[in-house]
Order: sequence, then structure tokens, then C-alpha cells
Amino acid sequence: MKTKKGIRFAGSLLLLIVALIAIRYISGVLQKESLRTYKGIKELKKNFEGLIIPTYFPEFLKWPPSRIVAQKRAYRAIAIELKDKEDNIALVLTESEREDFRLQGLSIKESVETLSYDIKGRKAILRVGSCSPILKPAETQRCSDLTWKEGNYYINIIIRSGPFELLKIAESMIHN
Amino acid sequence: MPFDGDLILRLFETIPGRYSIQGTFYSIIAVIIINSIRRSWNINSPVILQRLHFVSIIMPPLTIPLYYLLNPSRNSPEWRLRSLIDIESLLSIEYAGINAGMVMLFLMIITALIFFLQEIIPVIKNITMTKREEEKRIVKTFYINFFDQKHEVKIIEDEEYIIFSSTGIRPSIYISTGLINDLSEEELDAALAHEAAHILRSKRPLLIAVFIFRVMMFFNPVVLIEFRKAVQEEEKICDRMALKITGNPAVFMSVLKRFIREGNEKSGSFNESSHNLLIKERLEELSRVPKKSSDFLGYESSTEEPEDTGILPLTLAIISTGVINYFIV
Repeated sequence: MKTKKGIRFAGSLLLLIVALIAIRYISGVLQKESLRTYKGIKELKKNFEGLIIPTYFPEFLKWPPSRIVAQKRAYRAIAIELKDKEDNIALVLTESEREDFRLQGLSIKESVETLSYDIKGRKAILRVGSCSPILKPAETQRCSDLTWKEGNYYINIIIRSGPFELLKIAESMIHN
Repeated sequence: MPFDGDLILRLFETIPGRYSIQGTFYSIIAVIIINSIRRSWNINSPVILQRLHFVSIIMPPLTIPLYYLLNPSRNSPEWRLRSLIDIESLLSIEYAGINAGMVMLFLMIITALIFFLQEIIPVIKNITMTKREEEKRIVKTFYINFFDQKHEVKIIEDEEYIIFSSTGIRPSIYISTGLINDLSEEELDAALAHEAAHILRSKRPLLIAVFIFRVMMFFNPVVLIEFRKAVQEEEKICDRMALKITGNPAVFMSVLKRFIREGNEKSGSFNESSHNLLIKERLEELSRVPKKSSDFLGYESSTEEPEDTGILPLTLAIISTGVINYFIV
């Protein structure tokens, strides 16, 4: 008897999970402007006007991006992730109306130096420190992070490398 | 457009906004799970049912900070894309210029208004004005012993049927002369025992904690309904406690029947028909109580298996609600 009750409950729980997955799918079909993944830069450019993409990328990065996520609502936010030749996340570029929109794949764990930096007339904050690959948390590597405001959007670039390459990428994004 | 949909979505992005919207969704999931547990275990015991309603009231405000403690990056894009439901995406679904976020906000405002108008204001009025007014009309005070405790009973000069209890440091039972004159001695005992049960149970820390959580979630429409259901179960529990003393469900039912308000059900006010509906539900519950039970509070009286104490369904409700809600962000 108890087993029968348990099976009945497990069945209804399964039904609930299936219904939630279906709701999630339907909401994705009905609402294309909320957070979702994009197949490539072309698709992204088609949906987001005035997208700021660097014209320079260091050679150790693999093209095309390993992941692109973006949303138009409730606020505009775009995140592009690139991997290196060893398949580690090596660069994350974020463009968002909110400063706290960040992918979790790459972040500075320990900051060594933070300084203000002028990048083609924009006031930027440069941080240099260490980060570790998600799959190898014990391994620490040098990382740099740069944030500045471009119109209404916060631009943030984090790279698994020193600040030299990072600044070159940032400069390639600003054309005026 | 009078409202900016994105502005409302941004409101739900703030910490209090996120807390309230996630709390509401978590309550919805809790209620779905509780109802399936109720159906699977065929639960009719008011004690277990009340505890299940408590799960949907207490769990959302308790689990939200716990989830963030377990996973501080719950709001990250990665987690949102992996989740079972991304509430923000769901709220941005739009039809004819109105998005789901606007509907939710409207529901929450209405719920908050109902809470203040129907619960807070009457409670304050009851504590301050009603009690003071009733004190003026007291014609006699006497004491009775129920549940090994002495209870103060105050008789009010009124021909209407009035009976209620006040809680607090000096709790009392108030009963009108009209009701005393109409009830037999056995019926009076049953009615007073029911009120004494309310006084006894009002001191329980769990009930006080649930009320605090209910107040915290004043904007949550699901909590509004669940709290009212829990209050109705409280009435049924007190009915059963009173039955332990009087021992005769028929006597208790005859007292309850006197409180059914006469009139045309179709033309009667909403308050009147919902009052009658609640009384009828209690009468139905009392008709299920076994005639010769030594313990009318027994959890097992309405379930199929005597050993079923409600621990398993309650545990399952807590665990499954906790796990599923973790994946909703």
C-alpha cells in the first residue's frame, strides 16, 4: 500500500518536472528577448544594434566563440566567451546595462593590483590578479580584467593573460 | 502605455523584488507538491493538513537565503540557462502590451491590500475597540476547567449568537446571553471547550512562527490562500480537541449548525456564503469522526493505515519542495 502511494507521488512529481520543462520551453519560444544562447556573432549582430566587438583578438584564442549568451529584457546584456587552444575559457567579454551581469566561467580570484587607466579618453579600471580554470581549481594563472562605460553600457573584458593583450583588445573596440 | 513593462521587470531584479517573486513561485510549487501528497496519501487529518499548509508558508522565505548560501552565483546567466524555470524570462512574456510581470505585480498589490483590509485592520480593531466594547457589556464572569487549565469565561449581554476567545497574557472566552439561553448544558460545554482549545493552541511556538512568516509574505497570493486554509484546519483541530472532552460529535454538530446564517444562498453576500461554506466543511469533517474513538485527535481516523502519522508525507513535502525550488531561479 505504501509503495503504491509512493509510486503515485513519484509519478505526480515527475509530471510536475515535465510541466516545468515544457513551460520553460514555451516561454523561450514566446519570448525571444529574454536570456538565451546565440549560435554565432552573425546571429547576435542581427539581433543587437550597435554591438561593440573587438577587431583584435590574441592568437592563443580559438575562434568562433565557445559561448554567446544575451538578453534584451529586462535590460540589454551580452556575454561572449572564447576558449584557448587547450580548451580552457580564456576570455569573457561582457556588454551590459548592469555592472553585475557576469559569466562565472572566468573571474579574478585574487587581485594583485587595481588601477585607473585611460583608454582612448574613457576612464577604465584595470585589475591584475590570478584566476584558476574551472576544471583545475588548484592551478592558478595570471588574469587581467578591464571595465569601462561606453554610453549606457558597462564593458568588461577578462582575459587569462597579462594586461598587455587586454589593453590591445580594448583599444580595438573604441573607434572614436 | 501607462506602465513600462521593463521597469516592472527591473523591479523584480532588485533584492526585495527577487525575494518576493521567487517566494511567490516557490509557494506555487509547494502547493502543487502538497496537493499531490494529499491525493497520494489520501490525507484528511486536519493536523497533518495544517502542517502541510505550513510548509508552503514557511519554506519559501526560509529556503531563499539558504539557496544563496549554497550557491552564491544562483543569478548568474549560466545558472539561469540551466534552471528548470527562469522566472525573469517567464515574466517577460508579453501579450497586447501587458507582460506577465505586470500581472504578477498587480496580483501582489491586490494581495497586500486584502491582507491589510481583511487581516491587519480587523485584528487591530479586535484588540483595541471590540474587546473594550465587549468588556462594557459583560454581565457575569465565571471560570471553567478544560485541558487541566482554568479558563475565564465572560458573559456578554446580547441576543445574537456570539462566542470567541481572546489570546495574550490574560486570555478569556466571551459568550453571549443569547447563545447561553439557546444551548443545552452539553452543547455549552462543547462550545466552551472549543474556545478553550483555541486558547491552549495559541501558545504553541509553531503557530506564532507561522504567523510571523505569513506577515513577512503579506504580498504572496498563495500564502494568503494557504494561511486561510491552515486557519480552517485550526478550527477543525479545536473541534476535535473539544470532542475529546464532550465525547459526542452530534452535540458539537448541533452547536455548529446554529451558526449557519439563514438566507438565500444565491443572493447572500460573499462573506455570508463563505462563512456558511466553512461551517459546512467543519460539519462534514465532524461527521467523519468515529463515534466511539478514545482519541478524537488521532491522525489515523481518516487515513487508511493506522500507523500513518504524517511524518513521511511531511518529510517528502519538505524535501521535494526544497529540491525542485532550488532549480527555479
